[in-house]
Amino acid sequence: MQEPTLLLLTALADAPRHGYALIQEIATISDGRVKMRTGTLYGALDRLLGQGLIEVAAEEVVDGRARRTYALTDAGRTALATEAERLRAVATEAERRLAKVRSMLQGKTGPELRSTIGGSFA
Amino acid sequence: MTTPTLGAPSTALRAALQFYPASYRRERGEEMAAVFADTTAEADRSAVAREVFDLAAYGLRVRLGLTGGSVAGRVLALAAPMVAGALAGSGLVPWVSNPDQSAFRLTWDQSYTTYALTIAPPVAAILLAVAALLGRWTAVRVVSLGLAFFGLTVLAQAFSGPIFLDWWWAGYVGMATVPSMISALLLVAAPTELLPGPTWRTRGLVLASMVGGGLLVALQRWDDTRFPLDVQWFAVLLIVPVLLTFTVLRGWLAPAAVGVAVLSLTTAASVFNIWREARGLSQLLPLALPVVGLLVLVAMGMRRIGAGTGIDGGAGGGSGRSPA
Repeated sequence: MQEPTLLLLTALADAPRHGYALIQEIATISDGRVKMRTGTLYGALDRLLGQGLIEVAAEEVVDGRARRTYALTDAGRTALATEAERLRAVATEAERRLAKVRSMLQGKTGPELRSTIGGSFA
Repeated sequence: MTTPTLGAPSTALRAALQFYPASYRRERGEEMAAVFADTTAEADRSAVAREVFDLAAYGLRVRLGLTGGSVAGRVLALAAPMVAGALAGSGLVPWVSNPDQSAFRLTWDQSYTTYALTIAPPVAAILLAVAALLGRWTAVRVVSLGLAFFGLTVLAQAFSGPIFLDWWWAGYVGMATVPSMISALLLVAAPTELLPGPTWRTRGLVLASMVGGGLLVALQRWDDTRFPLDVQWFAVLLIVPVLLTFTVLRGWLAPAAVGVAVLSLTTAASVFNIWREARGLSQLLPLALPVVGLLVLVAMGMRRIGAGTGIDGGAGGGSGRSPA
């Protein structure tokens, strides 16, 4: 799953949201790193609607502005949960390996440290 | 959806929305205008310009049927690593197959133009390969557009040479330059969100396509008489990939993507050589029309067999990867 898709599904995980709210939520989740533009957002929404991962939850007019609210479908929730589990497994494995190296390096410096790291990959 | 209008949208927004088909505009125009107004409320001019460009670009994709949810978009995304690799491989052919001749060109004169014209294509090909291997698709597109522009310039010069509209010479030059233009268009048209990351599978595909594309172009080189191809082979190099693209009618995206990638390299050379060997359009048409008719029948047959196998839905026939 590509990152924009993951962020979009995550932004919809806890509540249905409309277009601009999704852009704001994605910026928050990604710590300001991803600023989705309007065309890109609607490209992703169209694709996810086509795949049945999201649905239009409501259509309304707020302050004279057209507003559609989008929500995850059951298939979308399953896809997001599967991806979250996959990412969790990768992160756990990364932490386990880093912790292993850290424990080997405790108290070692300089050449000794380098030979320990080299030896662990030999 | 019936809604009141949002107020006077900016000229740029109206222009961007014109890129969308009327039906899409009716369905989503008001909503998109509202989101656009919110996102650009406190933005500076350059940010507004980027929003407008992004909105217009997606509109063009919707109009051309090249969105991330469309079959064509998914085929192009699958083909992108192969197209980029093949283009890179083809750019390196003169330097790999005949380095002496390429080096000799550098001694023609001391002008910067000669150096640039000789060195730029292989350097661009290497940059293209590196960018594709790293999954840097913006760089891939920029370099491929540069190669296409270079090719277009050379082709324009061929057309405006000493003999005005010398179709033979333009055809020869076109064989070498048109593939870069087709490839650049395909790479730009591929939906960005579906382009693959730099996985080992993608890198392998890029490298294999570099070798395959290089061999394919080396085989078709008109100035290399070591491997002269009969006209039948040019027909094969055109018809087989066209048949591969028909597999999309049954929902098989991967073989269709291979067909697209091969066609990006073989179309120009095949069409030109078939036309050249047939000695004119009047001789070619009686041969070509039955073949085209047969291909249309095959396509209709595959379409009929493929009906209901998911070519319009998200299933993708199992050959492509998930577009999510």
